[in-house]
Amino acid sequence: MSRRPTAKAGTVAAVGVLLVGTATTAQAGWLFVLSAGVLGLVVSGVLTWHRLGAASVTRSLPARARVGEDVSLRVSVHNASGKRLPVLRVEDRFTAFGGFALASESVPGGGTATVELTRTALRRGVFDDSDVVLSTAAPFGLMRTRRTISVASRLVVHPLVIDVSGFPLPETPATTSDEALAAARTGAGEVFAGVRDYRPGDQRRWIHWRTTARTGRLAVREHEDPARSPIVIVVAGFEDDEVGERVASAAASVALYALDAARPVHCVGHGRFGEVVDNATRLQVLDWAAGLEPSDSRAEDAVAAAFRRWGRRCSFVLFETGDGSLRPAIDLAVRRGAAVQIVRPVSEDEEPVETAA
Amino acid sequence: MKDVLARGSARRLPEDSIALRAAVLGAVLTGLAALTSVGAVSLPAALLFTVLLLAGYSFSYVYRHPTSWGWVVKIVLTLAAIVAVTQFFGALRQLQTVDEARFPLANLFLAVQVLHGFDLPARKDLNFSLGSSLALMAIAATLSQDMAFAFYLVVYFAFVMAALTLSHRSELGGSAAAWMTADGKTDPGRARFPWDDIGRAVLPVTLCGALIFMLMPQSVASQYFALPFSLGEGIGADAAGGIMNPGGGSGTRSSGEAYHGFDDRMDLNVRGDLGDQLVMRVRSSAPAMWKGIVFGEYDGRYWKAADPDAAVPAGDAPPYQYPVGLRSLGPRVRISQTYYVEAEQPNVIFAAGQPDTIWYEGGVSIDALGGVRTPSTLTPGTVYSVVSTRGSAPAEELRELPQEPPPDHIERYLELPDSVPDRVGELARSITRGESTDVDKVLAIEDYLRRNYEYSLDSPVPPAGRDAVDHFLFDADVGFCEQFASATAVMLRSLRIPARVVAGYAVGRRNALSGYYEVRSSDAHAWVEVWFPNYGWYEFDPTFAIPKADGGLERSIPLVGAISALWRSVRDAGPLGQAVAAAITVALAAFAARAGWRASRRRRGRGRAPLPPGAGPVTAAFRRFEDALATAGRPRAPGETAREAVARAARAHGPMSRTALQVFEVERYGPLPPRDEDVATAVEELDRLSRAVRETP
Repeated sequence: MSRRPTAKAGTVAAVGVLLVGTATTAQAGWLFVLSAGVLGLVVSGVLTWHRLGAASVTRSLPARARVGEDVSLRVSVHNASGKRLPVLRVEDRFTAFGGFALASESVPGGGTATVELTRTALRRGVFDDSDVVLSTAAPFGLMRTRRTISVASRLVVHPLVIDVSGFPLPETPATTSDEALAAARTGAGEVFAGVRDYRPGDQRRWIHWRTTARTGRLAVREHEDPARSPIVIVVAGFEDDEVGERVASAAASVALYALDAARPVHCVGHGRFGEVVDNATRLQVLDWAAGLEPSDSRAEDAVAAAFRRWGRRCSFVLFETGDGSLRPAIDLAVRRGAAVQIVRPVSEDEEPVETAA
Repeated sequence: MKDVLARGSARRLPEDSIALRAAVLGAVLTGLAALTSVGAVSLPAALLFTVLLLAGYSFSYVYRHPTSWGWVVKIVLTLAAIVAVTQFFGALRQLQTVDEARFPLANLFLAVQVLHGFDLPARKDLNFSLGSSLALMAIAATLSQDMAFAFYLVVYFAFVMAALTLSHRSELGGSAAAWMTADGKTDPGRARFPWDDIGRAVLPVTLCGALIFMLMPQSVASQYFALPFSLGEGIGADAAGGIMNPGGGSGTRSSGEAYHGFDDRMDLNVRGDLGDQLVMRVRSSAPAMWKGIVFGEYDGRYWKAADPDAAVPAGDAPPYQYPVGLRSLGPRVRISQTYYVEAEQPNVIFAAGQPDTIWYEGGVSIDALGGVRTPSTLTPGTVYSVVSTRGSAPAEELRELPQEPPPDHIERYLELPDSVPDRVGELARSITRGESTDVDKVLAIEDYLRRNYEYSLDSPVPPAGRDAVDHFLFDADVGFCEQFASATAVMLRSLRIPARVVAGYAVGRRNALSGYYEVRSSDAHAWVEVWFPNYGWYEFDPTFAIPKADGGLERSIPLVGAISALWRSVRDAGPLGQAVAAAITVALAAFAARAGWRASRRRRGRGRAPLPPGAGPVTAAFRRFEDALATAGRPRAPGETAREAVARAARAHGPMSRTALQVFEVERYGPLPPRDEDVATAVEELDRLSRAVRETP
């Protein structure tokens, strides 16, 4: 808590002293009274005790929002003392909204002043406790008391999700041949998909005897293949800048697109929700993207860790940020037989997603 | 040019508060009214200024947002300001005294206020206007002499406090997204007038202002003297002729309207009270006796002033200088005075001590004894100034003066009529036996008279043919200033010490607010001047006392003066009064000690550790609950958990749901804040428990 006279107090006090000097020279009694009144204003203003120590602030927010979304919130100032709090300026430094100021009417002892308002979530991120600065110079603007209070609240702001329809989700080399695909589709999974003619190589246990008897030709059961290669979204070398924001948005968009395409998604990237999110849901993808933060980890380390975790059947989408030194990571992935898609953000005028083998 | 002006306007946010504008306008109009009341602005001009100010403030509000033609307004206002300043300097050339500059200065400030009134888009402009209004009040304060100014002062400060409060609210809310209110309504603050905020500030401001005024040194720091009025076409008309005493009666009873001593002769047989009419206000750098007439010759009943036909003009035009031949020497203190005559006075110049320089619009003559006379009586409204000097040598220095016979022109102040019996001289010698110096003899006689004679305006009148002084000293033992002064002068003359009686007014009551000495009819007085070799005339007052010119802290700091006066009144109140005063003092001390003890207790309570960072309403409510326990004498023990403390209180004061404690723990220790509805319930429950703890013995 700090207390400091305002510049206005200095000016008024100087005027008061000047009047005293004039009164002394002019022997003008009423001028002494006038100057005493002016100085009385200053002294009473300076001696005013604002009792900001008894004030507490709460901020109520929804748990999640999206960049650009209007968020309804409620801010309250509670007066824990028995005396009245003066009129206040409430500067909320909650960075999700870029900070904003409120004014509070005087709050009676034990009372609470509240306001409900809507602010736009300006940027992606996970926003936790932030400072609220209470200040007042009541009643005359001559002595300012300021107190900074840390207010607990959390808001996860998801990045914008852009349309990435048609994005070429990578497949591992083992699943790209028709033969292998056909083999996989005939029994690896549990879900019954249909019946087809027997092909050489089909196992006998796959034969659908009822259809074979009815048609007189060998027919085999066909199952859905659940083992479509998971997509690993890797964001490494993340920078907290405009490019980083676009990368977070693109990574979340691609991950959601992959989920829509029934591909399991694993997310790798340093953030508020950990390095790795395994088999992420849509919400987890968005939270992960919201929480992305800069780190010193290298892209190849992330890729190596993903290999250790999910094996060769991973398909990688690598988001290049920072200095663009993804080559070691790509080489590592390719060496291990993984499909790799590289997304490299370009200038604002160009398409933000670019693919490379 | 246009662009520059437009950019300048754009940087300031337009002020939307009509209340703030009205408060500032109120302060300016109060300053205008105060100036009008003291005659610095004529009534028609004041009405014109009022209309223009109203128009200007309305214009400023309507066009507070930047306009494409705003630069035209600024150019017009600038040109008008140049005209106003030119007129001001033109008026300055016609002035005779520095003091007269206050009137054109007041008009210049008003013109600036009016012009600025058309260009008040932002709060900063309004603050400037508010500051300028103080200049109007300051000019009015230097001109005001009576208590009517107090009304303007109260109204002015009411507007200033409202304007400052509204300005601060505007500053707070200017860039705020919304106003928070206790009832949860958004945005009403902009329209709400802060009556309660201003009301709560009235008492502290009044107390602080009064205390500062009481502690403020009000001595005269500068010896610079500026004539506070215009002499006009001063004419040195001949002032010869006798003293005219308006209201003075004849016979042995006072008329009650004017002091009979303001005449060519002072009749020691006249008795009677004087009225309490205000006769003049004196602005003086020091308190003094305002001497008007000098009496030199005593004939057993009358003291006679100088021959009116022998008065000599002091000069052709003001300022008039006191004749060098009549001037006293030695260490002197300077006293600047200006007299504002409220009731008709004799045709004499009242002045402190020796009037060295006189500014009076008419002619002035000096009589043979050094009295200063004017051609006609001083009518109400007459203003004149005098710079005087008064002998300031202390008694020790006067004792060192050589004991030598007075020069020839002082011999007349040793003469005594045959009517004075020898026993008067014998009494004087017996009183001063053992005193070797003149000053000690004077002091001894003063002391003797004060101790042995009573003061009464209705003392016995001497029988016909009886010497007035002898009758007072040996028969009546009762008298008033004339008897005391006459007895002193006659006894001193019998000791061959030159002395004379002078008449005028005592210092009067100093109005602490206006700073003027208010002199009334009843302050008419007679006292003594004693001549000392080389140093000349010194004043002595055997009836009361001559006020000190410097006065020390008692005069310059009102609080010290008030305490001294209180102390004197207690000292003079006798045993019963002193006992009452002692009882009141003890009671006040006990009250102050109790208040201090309570404040100390409150401070100890406030000295607790602050609420932890991020503490919410439930934590604050729990702190109140702890305070309630402490107040009730059952404080929370150091090792007692919150749950145990609540359970202990709940056992004694009724049940309490577990939810409140859970919410407290969530708010205090949980990663996310509790739900709002839970917070409200928990605060309510904890406060209910706190009330129960406090209210139950």
